[in-house]
Amino acid sequence: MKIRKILNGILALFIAGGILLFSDLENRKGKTEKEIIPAQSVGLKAVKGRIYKIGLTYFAPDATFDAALVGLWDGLKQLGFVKDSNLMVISQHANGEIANLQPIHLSMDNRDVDLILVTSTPAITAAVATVKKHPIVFSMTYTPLEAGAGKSFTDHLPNITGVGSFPPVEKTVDFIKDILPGTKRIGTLYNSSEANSIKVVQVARDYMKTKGIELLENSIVNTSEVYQAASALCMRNIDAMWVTGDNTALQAISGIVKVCRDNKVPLILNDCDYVKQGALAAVGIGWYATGVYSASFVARVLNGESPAKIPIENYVEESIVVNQAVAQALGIKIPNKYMTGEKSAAPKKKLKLCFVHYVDSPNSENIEKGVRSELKKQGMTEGKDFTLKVFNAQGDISTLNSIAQTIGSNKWDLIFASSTPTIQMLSKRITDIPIVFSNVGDPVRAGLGKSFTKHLPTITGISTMSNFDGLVKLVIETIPKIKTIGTIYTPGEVNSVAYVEGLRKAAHNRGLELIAVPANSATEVADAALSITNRGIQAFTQISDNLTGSACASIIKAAYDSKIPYFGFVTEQIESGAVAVVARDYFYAGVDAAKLAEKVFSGQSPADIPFQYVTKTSVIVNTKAMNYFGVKIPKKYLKK
Amino acid sequence: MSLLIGSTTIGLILALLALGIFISFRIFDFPDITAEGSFTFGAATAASLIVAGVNPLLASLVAFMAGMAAGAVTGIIHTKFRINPLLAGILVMTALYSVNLHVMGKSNMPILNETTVFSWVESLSDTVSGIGNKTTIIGWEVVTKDLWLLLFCFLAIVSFSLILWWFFKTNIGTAMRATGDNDQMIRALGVNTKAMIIIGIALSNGFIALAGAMLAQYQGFADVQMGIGMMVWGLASVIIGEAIINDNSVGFVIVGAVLGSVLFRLLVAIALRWGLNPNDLKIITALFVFIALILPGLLKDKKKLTFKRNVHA
Repeated sequence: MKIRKILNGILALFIAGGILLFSDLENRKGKTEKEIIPAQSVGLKAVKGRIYKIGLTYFAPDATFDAALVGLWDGLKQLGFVKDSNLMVISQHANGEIANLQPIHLSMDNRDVDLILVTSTPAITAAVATVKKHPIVFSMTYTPLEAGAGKSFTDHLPNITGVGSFPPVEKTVDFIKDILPGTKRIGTLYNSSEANSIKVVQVARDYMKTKGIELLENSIVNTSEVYQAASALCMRNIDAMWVTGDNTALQAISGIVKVCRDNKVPLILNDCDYVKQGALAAVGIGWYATGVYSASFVARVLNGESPAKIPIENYVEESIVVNQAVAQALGIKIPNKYMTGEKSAAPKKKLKLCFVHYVDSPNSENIEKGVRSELKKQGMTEGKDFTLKVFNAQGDISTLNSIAQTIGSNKWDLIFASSTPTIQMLSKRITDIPIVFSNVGDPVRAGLGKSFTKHLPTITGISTMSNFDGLVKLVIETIPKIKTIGTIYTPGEVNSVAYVEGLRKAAHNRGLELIAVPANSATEVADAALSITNRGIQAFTQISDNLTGSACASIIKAAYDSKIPYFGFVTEQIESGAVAVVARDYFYAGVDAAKLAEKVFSGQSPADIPFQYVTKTSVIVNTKAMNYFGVKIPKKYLKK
Repeated sequence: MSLLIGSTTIGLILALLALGIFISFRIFDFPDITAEGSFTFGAATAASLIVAGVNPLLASLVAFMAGMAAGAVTGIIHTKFRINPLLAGILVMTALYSVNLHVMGKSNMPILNETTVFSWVESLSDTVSGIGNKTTIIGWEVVTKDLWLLLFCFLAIVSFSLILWWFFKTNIGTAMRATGDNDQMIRALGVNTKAMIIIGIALSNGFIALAGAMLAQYQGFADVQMGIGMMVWGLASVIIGEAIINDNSVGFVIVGAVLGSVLFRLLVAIALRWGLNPNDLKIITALFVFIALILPGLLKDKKKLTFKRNVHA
């Protein structure tokens, strides 16, 4: 009889467990695997049980590269090479500088990989010179032969093969003539040390001559020269600007877009993925298709075939993409026949993201807003390009544990974590998914790494440590005779304690004394604020932690009652009545986190991305409050 | 599947908390809020000692004793100074917040890379079944390590439950239970009920601190705010357990507390897995607990109902 009672309990456990497993059905292994295994020629397929390793090198993360890579991984998946399952990818990039290409290939050559996958023309040149021990497969290049891969497509260096994609230059010129019939002068800029650009520009120059168009060229050496070179071209009365797939120029495409917009010059590219940044149109290569096409080359070499026996091929899927908004702004009518190409941009994988809060706080919510805003700015639409699932432990550590388990049992492309306990918990439980944190004051003290550059391999993120020196300086310049400043802090929050220490150090360096009064709950904040006004402080310099962030109204009220000016670190506090804030904004802490996430999406390993401080510090002044407290903030801050 | 295993593991760790709450709340009828402080106290003590290089088992033991000390203080404040049990708990819990900050020297202490009891189990798993090995259970792939952790927690909680059960069968344990049930009677028998309460509350908080120490090692850090809300969850586990098992004898209540704790974590996991609006998480959890509480009663009523009908017929 009695045993039956326990059985009741166990039955309840089984029911709950069953419901949980039922909700988790999609993660069952057998289910997903059946869908793969397409019928493909046998020699290309992955050998079962073998783990393949690819070293991937590229010039810099960018949209084109992403599209091609998505295609490549999709293509390889068809052949049974599944990234992060039986295909390990180590990636490195040159940060957009040609000088970095040699060392990264050298280091890649010394790693244990089955082949090195080289993308972009300058990278091929570097790889040809440095890589000795491993076979090379290249893709995403205009002109592999000019890069030094060989004499012809069949007679090439023995350890290298791949796919070239020469851009449809003639078609580009025809397109320009078609939409801008009066065109006589076209400007272009390119890096004269990129073999790809030289070849393309040469072909274009010859073809334009036959059409009676003059090509004005400006060469550049690095991205910082792009803006000037583009401006100079526009000064020379060009009818249109054409920029080919020059790696250096494309890195600084936003500068070119700006110059062209200011001078009302239509900008035509050869890379479709950049059109949305503000070019008029692109006559280019569908890089996704190139990626898929390259997959078989990678597969053959992975399975041991010698690159010497595989001829280089040229593969181009032409596509024309037009930016309607720009066309309208320039008053250009695009013939209907070009309008169909718009959809041919690469079908990107829908990213599955999640965001984990520890507790509901304005700071954490602003970070989420920042992340969403930046993702949107990158042209990603929620629901179409990504899904962002939000978790919130609502301040409860055992729930946070359960959330970590839930996340761990699902497949995500990336996790955003806000606050220190969140990232600590996730870093312990989840080691195979990239995590980007924000709202963490001191990631090193939180145990996430030895330094900002040497840290846990799957983690990177944003430190929200405030700009203490900036605020102290502002306070001193505003109130020259000031001796004592005060803040309220929360001993229970690791960030808060780190911030107080930082503020104290900054104050000390500039000869001020900081009085810090602790508060542990929202009700205590008001008391602490009252007590601190009686301790002779001449200004509030309120640090931003979760508690005082939520209860800042009561501190500001105390400041107004006692006529002690209030300075802060959070933008929103200006509206509540702060005199000035030096904000390393939490909104931007989200934006920056999303930017790091972009790098991860483009294939960079979080291990190679150092932790960063929030990039944007802004000084915001409230003149009304300034008059109330009778203080004068120096004019130089008012402009901003 | 890994979610099921992970939630069960956390449920088993927090079953220690439920056992502690069961002692104070059920045996002594003593609403002891010290729990929220002593949970963190155990975590903080264990984390600090582990960082200082102390053997993790020893560190956990010290955490247990630290919790007992905190509980003893609550007991003394209540019995010697005749302060209301709720207030005595609040006093000690509040004080422990500062103590915890001092113990760690800061509000958050990472032990991500330290040797803990769980990292021992993990390395044992690595040597027995190979690093990063995965096991397939009816179609779901799980990391073998997690299974070992689950097994370890299961064995640990079974032994602690047995010890506790045995303890309440001894003379002193029986006297304790009697103190809670009818202190007039047991005082008449010559038992010092004040001492019983102090020892009992100490024992209760020892278990709670141990739960904190284990959770800190499992999740890889101790945080000064981690105790917040623990008292409520522990209590909910005990009550769920009672509702399911529906028997007042010590052994069954202990089993009930453990089952209740695991069931409670599973319910939270279901709420999370369904991906509901994060703002609704707590209300859904409350709803699940409510259902778990009334379901046994409803089932019983239905049985009675059908029986009655049969009689009429």
